[in-house]
Amino acid sequence: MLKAILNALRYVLNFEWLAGVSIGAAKNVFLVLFVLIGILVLLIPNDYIYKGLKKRKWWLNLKLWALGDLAFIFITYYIF
Amino acid sequence: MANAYMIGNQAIVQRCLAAKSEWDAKASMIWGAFLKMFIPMLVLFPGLIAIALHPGMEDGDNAFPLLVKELLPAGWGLVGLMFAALLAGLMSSIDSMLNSTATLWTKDIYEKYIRKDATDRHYLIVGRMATIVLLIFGVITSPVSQYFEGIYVAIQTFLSFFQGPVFSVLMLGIFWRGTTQWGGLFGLLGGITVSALLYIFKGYLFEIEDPFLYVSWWSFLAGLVIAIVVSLFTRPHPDERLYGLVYRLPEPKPNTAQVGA
Repeated sequence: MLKAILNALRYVLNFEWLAGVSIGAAKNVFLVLFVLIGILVLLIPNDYIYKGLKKRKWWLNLKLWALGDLAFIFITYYIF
Repeated sequence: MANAYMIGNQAIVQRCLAAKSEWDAKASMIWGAFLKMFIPMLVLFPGLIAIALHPGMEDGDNAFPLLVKELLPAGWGLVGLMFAALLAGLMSSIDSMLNSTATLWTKDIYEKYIRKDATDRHYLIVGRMATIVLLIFGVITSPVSQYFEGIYVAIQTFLSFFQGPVFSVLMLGIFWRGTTQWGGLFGLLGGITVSALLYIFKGYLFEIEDPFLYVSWWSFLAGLVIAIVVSLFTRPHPDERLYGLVYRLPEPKPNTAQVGA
């Protein structure tokens, strides 16, 4: 009984239940995740983004900065 | 779990609090996130080069100094420059950690529970003394790292005890207005307990020798579940107390009766 519980725990904790997922599929999951985060970034209100600034310039829009970060990591994951 | 460090680590958060404006704090975090993406490369490449040059190397902590000694040209001052940069980075990290820990001790424990109505100067001295004590404690306990495979593994193992539970409570508090202080407390303590148990029984539970990332993730999940369950069974805080703390929580409307009067 104890051994069965330990084996079940090991199966869960070591992510053996994900062993059937291919590297390509896992990569796609992460790429979709980055796109979703990008959509969430776009949904942030501009007032919140520019809080603390006197003048609003397009290059100070932190959404662009965050999308740049996401694009970088997306491309890195996509290539490798 | 890099998010746990960038969002939940007091040393990082404190740097944001020192920013000129809210925009500067946000911009610094995005810039930091960009630089953070290069960390795996910066950590991996010297190690790979060291393995290629010295396949039989026993202690991984010797890799970097060995590369500096062998590969950097002598006589140009580059070795000195490299160690100056290394020490500067080390000192910057250590003083941030000492400062943030001393602040947590002084503001959240000493001022709250030990001596409430002292002067600012008193708290300043207490903070400085805490810094010295922490530094001595760090020096005394540093040999502990020899029981691990390397300094990196030691640091990650210690971090894995706390970063998952802290991050879970932090995220929940920011995004869910139903989080209560008891939920947070139990989530934190429960998550740390799970971390400790996973580490103690790692030989039975994990297939790899140093499962710090696994421990971080599962303790994060445990902290999250415990905090949600306890929060659901405890009385939620009124919105007025949560405004400014919970993301996109609408500002409380002024009491019309009082305004009219």
